[in-house]
Amino acid sequence: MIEVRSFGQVKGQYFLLGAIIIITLFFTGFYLVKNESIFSSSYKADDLKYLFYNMQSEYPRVFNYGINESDITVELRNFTEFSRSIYSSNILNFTTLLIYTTNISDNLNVTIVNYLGYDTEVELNISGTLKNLTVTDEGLNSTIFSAVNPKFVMTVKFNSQEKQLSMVRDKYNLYTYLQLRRKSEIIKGSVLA
Amino acid sequence: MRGFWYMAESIIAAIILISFLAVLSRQPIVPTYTEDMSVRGYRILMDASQKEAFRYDVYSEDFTNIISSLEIPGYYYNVSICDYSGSCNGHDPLNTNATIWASSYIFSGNGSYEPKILRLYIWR
Repeated sequence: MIEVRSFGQVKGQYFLLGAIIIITLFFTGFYLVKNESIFSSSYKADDLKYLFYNMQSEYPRVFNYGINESDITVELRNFTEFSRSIYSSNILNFTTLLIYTTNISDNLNVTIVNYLGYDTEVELNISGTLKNLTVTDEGLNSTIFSAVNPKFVMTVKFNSQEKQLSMVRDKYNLYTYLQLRRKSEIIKGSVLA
Repeated sequence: MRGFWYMAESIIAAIILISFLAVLSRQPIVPTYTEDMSVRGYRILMDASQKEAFRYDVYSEDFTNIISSLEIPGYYYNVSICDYSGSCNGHDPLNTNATIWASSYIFSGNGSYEPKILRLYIWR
């Protein structure tokens, strides 16, 4: 036998339970909106974008200062470490891989500086000549390619990245892979100068 | 006994209702969103940093020129410049009671390597 109750016979406890559920849902929604947890992520990503542009703009300058002062590696290292210390104080993780070339007549010297946060294998390919270099974290490695064409394409592979870089042998070339991370937000890209 | 439960239910219902109304009366139902001035500050610094004259002003610590280059109508703002060692010159925000947005730009040098960080403080 099913007992059928009219609305007027429903007990007060059920109204209370319903009210508690509705109010809980209301306050949960209110809390989310008030703390802008839905909207703030886009703001955060925006400031990350500008910090990233900052690095993209300054690395070519640092490279030029290094060329002028005949100490490219030291200047790139100093700037990277300075930027990393500034960003880490803002809970940002800045990592980079720096590759630059200099020439000695028709030979090409390629230097790699690793600030990715871990040891990495870098594969370099110029006109079919393949070289693999292991670069320790915060370490440096370099190699020489012989008889390189005045204009050449260098293919760089590391981790899951692959990049084809059009370069001129008789000038200084810089390629930097940059990554800026804050918790789950990541922005990455590169600069060729 | 039944009367006691009716009374308990009424009291709980009243507490819920009063707390609900109390929260509503204190908070705006539709929150007001203000522009994130920190992001705007980053954008302003990014644009300014592309001008060589601005970079020169930063390296010569010409705060008058720097401030006049950064136009942020409707807000107060100040800048400070810090070098590699952490030594800073410039001005902190004047009104410490206000909400202060901070943005920064790292300069690598001006003609030669000499990193500096320009911090922009915006408040209203």
